[in-house]
Amino acid sequence: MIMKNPNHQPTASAEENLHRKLEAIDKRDGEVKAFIEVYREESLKKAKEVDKRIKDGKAGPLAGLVIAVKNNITVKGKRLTCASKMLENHRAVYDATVVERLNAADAIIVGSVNLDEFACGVDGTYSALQRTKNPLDLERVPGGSSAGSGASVAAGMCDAALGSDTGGSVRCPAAFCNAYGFKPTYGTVSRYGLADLAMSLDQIGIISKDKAVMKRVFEVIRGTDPRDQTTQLADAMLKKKPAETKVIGVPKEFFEGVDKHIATGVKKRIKELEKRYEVREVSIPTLKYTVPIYQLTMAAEFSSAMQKYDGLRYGFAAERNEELYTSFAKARDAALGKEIKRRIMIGTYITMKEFKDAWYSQALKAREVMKEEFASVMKSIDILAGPAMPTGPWKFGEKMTQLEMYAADMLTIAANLTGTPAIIEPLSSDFKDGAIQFYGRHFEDDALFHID
Amino acid sequence: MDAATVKKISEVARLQLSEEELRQLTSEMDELLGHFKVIQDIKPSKSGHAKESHYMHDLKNAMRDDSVVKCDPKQTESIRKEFTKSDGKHLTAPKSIK
Repeated sequence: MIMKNPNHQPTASAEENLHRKLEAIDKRDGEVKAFIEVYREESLKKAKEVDKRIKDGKAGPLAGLVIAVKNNITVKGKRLTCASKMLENHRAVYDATVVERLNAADAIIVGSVNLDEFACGVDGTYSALQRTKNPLDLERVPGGSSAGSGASVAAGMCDAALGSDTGGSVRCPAAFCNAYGFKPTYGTVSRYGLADLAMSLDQIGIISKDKAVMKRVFEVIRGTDPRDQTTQLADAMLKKKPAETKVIGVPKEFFEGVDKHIATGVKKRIKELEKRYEVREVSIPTLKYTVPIYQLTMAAEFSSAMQKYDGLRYGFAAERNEELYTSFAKARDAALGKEIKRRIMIGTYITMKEFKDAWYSQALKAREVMKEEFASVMKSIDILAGPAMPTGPWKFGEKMTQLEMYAADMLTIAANLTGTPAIIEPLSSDFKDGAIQFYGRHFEDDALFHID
Repeated sequence: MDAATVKKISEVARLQLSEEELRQLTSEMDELLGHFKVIQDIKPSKSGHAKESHYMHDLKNAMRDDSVVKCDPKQTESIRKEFTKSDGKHLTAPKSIK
């Protein structure tokens, strides 16, 4: 049965669309393992209600779209695990703002999806609960940290998925799973209900195989929310029409250390863009330092954010037969993974009084330099372009050092450090060809959806 | 970085780590921080003063008016269910004062 939704776009009924997605989950999620929880009953009930509203002409702007949500975003009454033993059986007691907005727009939330523990990882292998595989090649990683978001989209289990992006966690799995990935301007989408990794870098983003769907989801979830002060400028700023894109800048630093095959593909795509835009090579010298600036800033904020997981209030239960400090420290040791401990330790060290000036303060000063360099370049450039990831998805078990892992983020993290919006687009139907990435100006997110 | 410093950091971080974990973290932190040291070469910003960038936008601390909202008893119950140890009404924690 074909029905019309309020946007006058012909589509299958909400129920039919949902059934197709549930069939894909039933067929493939046994091996892909994208989902932590499937909200089968609730989503079927919602689909029926939405179909009724479509019929009555009262449906919301996302009527019938099936959406998966990264499991570090709260859905009331459902497990919020952050893929950690610390929160394995924790149930969220309220909806995140983005979830409220999706529900109000008549989207259907089909379930929660896997991630690297507390969103700390670049390939999806740091989940303490399950290993998500890349549906395009089961021997390869799906990308992280929004591993389940990328995999569920690629396997046709949903129309779009929400993820969180602190250093590229939406864009990396999108690139590895050959989908579109979008990180909005910092402060555009409310983080109320998002388990924080690093408060000055986190932003909720979207993955989809359809850029138009991604834009529709963005239009629903964005905007000022009094429960997240960082969104206070969003409504006023987003009303302004972005400047027309005329000049695209290509930072030469974006191609350093990138696989030849991917660099060639991105350059070819940029060559095509020259037919419609003026393309200029530019230089942003601090891009060479993105990994250390990011790792230090993120670790400092992360170690602070993690202090609330103490085994006493909720989550993993601490031993009660000992004094407070010991039970607290033992619970954290037992329930947190290796990468989490590593980041907490670095973050604690660089913010200790005796070491702060040399490390954390210096990283924040370096971040200011990067911000100024970006602002200066963006005076004459509308959009920046370059590769999204330096490599394609690697195989499970491939030996990588911790530094190599951290360096995989090198092209995405500048958008978080500077708060700019960024979108990634697959270069071909083969995920091994990589993806191109565009950075825009603050609050000119819409311009990124119109580059062609 | 020496083992004693790493041990001290783990205490501040509230992580009770095994000897093996401490040994491994000492070498990893040494290696990682050795690479991150390059940020100390970056010259301060062009504006001449060494400003620290905490946020990307100029935000004001927006205060909200206090308002009394009656909590839904179901909500209270769901929060209570998440306590790791409870006497039914209250969250219980280990003794913190000896």
